[in-house]
Amino acid sequence: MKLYRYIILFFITLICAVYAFDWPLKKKILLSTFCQNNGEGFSTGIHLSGLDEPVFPVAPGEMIFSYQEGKNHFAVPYGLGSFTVLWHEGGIQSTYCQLKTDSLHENKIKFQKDESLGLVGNTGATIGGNLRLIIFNIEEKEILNPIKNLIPYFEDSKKPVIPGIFIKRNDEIIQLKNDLVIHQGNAEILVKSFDLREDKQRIWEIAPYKIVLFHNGQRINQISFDSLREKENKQVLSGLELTYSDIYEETWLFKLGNLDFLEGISHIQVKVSDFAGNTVSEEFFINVAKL
Amino acid sequence: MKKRKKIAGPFLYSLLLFVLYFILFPYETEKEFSLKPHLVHYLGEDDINAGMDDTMNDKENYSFRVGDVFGYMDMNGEILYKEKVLYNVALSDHGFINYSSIQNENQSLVLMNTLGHFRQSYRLPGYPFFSDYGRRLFIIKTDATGIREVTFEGDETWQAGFTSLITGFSSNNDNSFIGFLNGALKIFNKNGECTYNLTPPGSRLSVIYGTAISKNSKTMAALYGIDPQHLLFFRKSNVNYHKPVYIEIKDTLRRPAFINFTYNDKYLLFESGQNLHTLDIESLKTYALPVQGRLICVDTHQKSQFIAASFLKPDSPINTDLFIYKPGNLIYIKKMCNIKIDFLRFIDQKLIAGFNNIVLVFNMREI
Repeated sequence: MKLYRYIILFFITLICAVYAFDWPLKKKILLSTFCQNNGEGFSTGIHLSGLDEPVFPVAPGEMIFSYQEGKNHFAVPYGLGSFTVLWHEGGIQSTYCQLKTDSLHENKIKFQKDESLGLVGNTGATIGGNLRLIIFNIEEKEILNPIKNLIPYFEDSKKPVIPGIFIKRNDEIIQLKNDLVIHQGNAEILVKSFDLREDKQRIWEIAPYKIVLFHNGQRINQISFDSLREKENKQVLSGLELTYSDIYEETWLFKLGNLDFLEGISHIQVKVSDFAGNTVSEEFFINVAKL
Repeated sequence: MKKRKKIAGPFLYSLLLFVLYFILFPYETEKEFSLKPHLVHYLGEDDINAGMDDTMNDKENYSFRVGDVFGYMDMNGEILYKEKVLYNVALSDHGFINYSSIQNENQSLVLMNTLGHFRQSYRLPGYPFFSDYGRRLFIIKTDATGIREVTFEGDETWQAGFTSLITGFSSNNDNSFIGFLNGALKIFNKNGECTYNLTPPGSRLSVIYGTAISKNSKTMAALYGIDPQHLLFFRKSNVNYHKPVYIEIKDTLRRPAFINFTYNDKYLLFESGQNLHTLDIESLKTYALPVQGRLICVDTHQKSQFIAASFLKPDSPINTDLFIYKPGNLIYIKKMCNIKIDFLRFIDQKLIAGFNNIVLVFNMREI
């Protein structure tokens, strides 16, 4: 009986090793993260730094779609540059974008994890060399956060930062500080926050993974960037059903919903976590006065 | 002497019958087709933008793009305007948007008329493109997971976001037919409402490689699937969509494919790996034109049935095969050229061909 269990365990380990998802580049430098505000909506993938380096599949797969910038004359205009899409077991599609034109293997169909798909380039909507990776889950009809769902995250010692928490009333935005006096009533809470790129000394912002709002010790709202799904032909954050404009006030300014402020002392706390689990917290006690 | 008369008689009768036969039952020979060079334009950088004339009417102008130069010409093939492509250009016979690769909320897309004069600007992120012969303007998210339509007056009419890449798009005056990487097909009306949704079955893997919708919205087609690849074809009458017809394609493409109706909606043209197919919409009979290489450009004549297409030969950066033919594979011209013909367009009785920064205008004649 024990031997039987060991054999099953061995095969499960073997299957996991073969089909486990991995990073597409050997050097792991994250330039931007999933659901980051890219100026036109949620970023549907992650960007990794590089140029002319070989790109490897996140798992063994079959090439199902390939686009070469300047060579496909009948496609819609793609900002993804030259890109290729692999189909994997379990209905997962991985998309590798901004590749160097002519480095794609258009006639190769099956790829193992150690077989290069092409080279990192700077084609499409980009100003420098990088790889954009987008993961689609066809069966669940979702776009997945590659880091949280598939690929193990690498070492990250830098915590996210919270430069400010704000309340918004009638288009007026006020930054919170201790002993601030506001009138009672409803107000929207905005949080400015970002994570920091690990390899840079200067500030290079990337989006955090999770933001939680507490009011008087009670958890009020939480945003976490796990996956996007489709609702009435709109991209929404899975679970929360929030659209891009529901979440972003500005590039690093997040909307955390509305609070009812009652007369007295109000305790506002925000916790922000990155993909590696580094968490930062900011809190304020404000005075709420009667109108 | 008598012998000679006996011989001459039957000979004369035979000759007479022969002549009568040709008079009474004339044999129709194939029509003759000729292309005569009419004009040549060198698209040098020196005179880019040259030729602008504010007084000229910009309504009857015809767009062209050869390599990284685009512009407009009149009916006679005279160039009215030309400009260098920045990163890409959305081009139609009514105007253009020349744009750079980085498009975000801080950039504006500027719509110009066919003489290069300002028409409208759009402070919207994404890449623009025209559809429905330049009558509709769309802006696609740079990651191809969303689309919006804007008017020439600058208003947004609708937008939609998806959880898959857009891999096929076609629209007419009323509808937009969109295909996706996940194998789904959707039809959106002018208000942005999804009126039809289908994931065609029958292939091991579902991917859409191209979509086409006819001008009257009565016929739709899509290329989809791997193992096997299919042409999906269906009709609509009033509000009802008929049961789709699936035609199996022998050679598989795994890249965006050309699929479009001819100008008169009588035929559907679509490419597969080694053929350019013509499907007769009424009889559903398909003609396959065997070709080698990648289709670069194709155009169909508005009145006659002429189709002009060029294919880049495999393993060659410049050699192209030029075909001019009619449905039913009536090939008028098949020529291998040592140049990369990257633009072909019919304008009335002229054929415009573009290659190596040159625009060549041919007079077309069919006798």
